Amino acid sequence: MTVVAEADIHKILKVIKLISQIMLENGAETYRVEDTIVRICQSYDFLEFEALVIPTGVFFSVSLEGISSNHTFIKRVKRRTVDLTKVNSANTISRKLTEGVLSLEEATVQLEAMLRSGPEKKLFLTVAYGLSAGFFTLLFGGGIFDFSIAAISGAVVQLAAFFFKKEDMFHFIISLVGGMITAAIAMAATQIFAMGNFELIISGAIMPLLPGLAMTNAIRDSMQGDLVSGVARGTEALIVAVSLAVGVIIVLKVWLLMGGGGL
Amino acid sequence: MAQSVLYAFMAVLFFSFLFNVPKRSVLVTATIAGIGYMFFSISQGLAGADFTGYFVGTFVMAVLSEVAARIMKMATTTFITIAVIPLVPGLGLFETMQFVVQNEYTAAVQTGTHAMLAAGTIAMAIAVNTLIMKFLLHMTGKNKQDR
Repeated sequence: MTVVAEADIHKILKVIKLISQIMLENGAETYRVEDTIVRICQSYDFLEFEALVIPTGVFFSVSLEGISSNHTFIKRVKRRTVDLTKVNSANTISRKLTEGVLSLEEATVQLEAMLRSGPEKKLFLTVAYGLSAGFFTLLFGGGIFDFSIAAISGAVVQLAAFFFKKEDMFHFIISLVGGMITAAIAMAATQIFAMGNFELIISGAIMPLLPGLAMTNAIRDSMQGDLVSGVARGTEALIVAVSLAVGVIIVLKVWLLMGGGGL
Repeated sequence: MAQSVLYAFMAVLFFSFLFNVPKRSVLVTATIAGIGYMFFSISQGLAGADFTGYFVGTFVMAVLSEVAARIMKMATTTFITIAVIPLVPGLGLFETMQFVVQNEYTAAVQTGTHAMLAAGTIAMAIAVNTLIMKFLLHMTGKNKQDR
């Protein structure tokens, strides 16, 4: 346990704020963020500390001598994507911090560098999305034709995702647009070439967007007693599933109304 | 079946790039997914019930993730959250909503219940593994690794 001077508390708070922000923004579970904060605090001689993490924000307070010298921060987290490399390195930094290998200043510098991350590998991500979608289609029982169409529409969806990345309602928009793009490409391809199964293509191509993982995590969070987080993730999963379904159905219905066959 | 295991492996491999999984754990995660999917299809055939397959498959994945996490000194969740993707009932949830927006409520309830139960089974398999792991660590008295 390291003895803390009152002046150092601000440095500690800053590091904890950066770590929890990075972890939460990049898809770490709430209990894991709480766990990390508690671990860092335990390595200093605080009298009390308390952390409450929900998917949309972090509440944290710490004090050296009871309620009279309380230090608090609240961090609202708006954008949430998944980047497990960042979660992992934030975790490593926190572990080094508690082991005393890393000083607070060094940790702050590293975390701030992580916050302004470099450019993303767009081409690589597009290809990865496409191939992932293609192999999911194969897994569901599709053929080579279904594989290639799913791969193409998956790549297009990922390109659309780059376009909408900055929007506030990113998850909703990309689910809706992704569903529409996938359904349109799948319908067009199966009609033009008169082969393949458009349902399999759609299922595979939207697989990377689907909220199955969010649903599972929601149930797991609720089982652990993180009820707020469980409900929040469940709602997120529901919204994504609804907008995907609406996107796909809009295209299929329009196709029917235009007199197209094949449904 | 060997084919579908390979497909699950490849799908998870490319999927893990989307979630930017740490580079040194990508292949491990995909392998865990493949092995788990194999157990999923085997046990589903043997028991005849869907949920047995989900439980056994996820449980195998969770155990392997735990082992990999100890060896590679990374959090277990890094492996299991990605590896479980082929089993996770995202498609079921999507089909449910598809039925709902088409006014087919009976079919929606049917697929929806199945999807919820599958998600619950997967979550339970992960939780059971965590419990067993905690118990084992408690027994051996080495309770310092993070989850």
